[in-house]
Amino acid sequence: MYSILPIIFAIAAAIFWGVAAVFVRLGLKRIKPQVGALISIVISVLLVGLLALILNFEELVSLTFPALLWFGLVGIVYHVIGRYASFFSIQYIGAVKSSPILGSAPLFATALAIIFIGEEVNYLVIIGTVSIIAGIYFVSTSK
Amino acid sequence: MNEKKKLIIGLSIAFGGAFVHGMSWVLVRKGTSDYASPIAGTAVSLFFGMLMLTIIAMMQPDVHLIQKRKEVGFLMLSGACIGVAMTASFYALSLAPVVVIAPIQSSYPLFTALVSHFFRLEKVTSRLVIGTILVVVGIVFITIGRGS
Repeated sequence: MYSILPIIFAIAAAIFWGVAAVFVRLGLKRIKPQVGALISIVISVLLVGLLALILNFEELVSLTFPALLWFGLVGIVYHVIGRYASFFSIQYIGAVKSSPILGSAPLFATALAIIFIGEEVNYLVIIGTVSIIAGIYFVSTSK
Repeated sequence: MNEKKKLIIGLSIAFGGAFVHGMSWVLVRKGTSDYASPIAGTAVSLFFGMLMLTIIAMMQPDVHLIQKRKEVGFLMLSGACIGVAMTASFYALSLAPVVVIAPIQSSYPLFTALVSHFFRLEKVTSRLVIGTILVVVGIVFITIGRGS
């Protein structure tokens, strides 16, 4: 069993994603989503880029082409494809129908992780995953 | 477009979005173990995301941003939060499997609802309470079950 540190990081990520979503909602009252997304990500790049330069300068300037390609793909998949899939699915079928489906991403992640990188899952993790997905369904439909 | 067609397209896009989101976690896990440290990976992925979003934003520019300083401020705060979230996410995925980290990270709508309540944007409802309990129980199960 590994330490609890990654769990703490994951919870921290969830908290900050959650808070970010509220700020996005407040920010998009009078600004177009495409421009709003850009303003937001520019600040992210500046913040994380500065941190990366301070902590990992040598690694950053010597990244290999495969590394750039791989994480470039992550950036495009997550920030562009994923974002616009959420946006358009809500436009077509509304948040009530799309949120539970979008919330099933962990199930896809689990299946893909098992298939492509050989991860294993036990019954406690399965129960926990289902519980979280059910919980998010209730939260998303609480309005 | 008729309603049935709209429903099919919308559901397809939603499932596609969930698939893509799930895939991104796997890509990060693989990337942070094979190619780069979490902080470097985060910086590169954000940079490429920014490049693509710049191209998209240029197609539909927004004018008079100076007059919308408050909204720009909120978006800048969101950017700071996203930077922290992504860094934490990449570190989590570099240290533990996707099957453990992905469900916990996907609980972020709960925190959105709680913070929205704090900003008086939403009320606390029974479904929110039930959802909170289920998410917390889920995280506990995953924490206990990690690596066993």
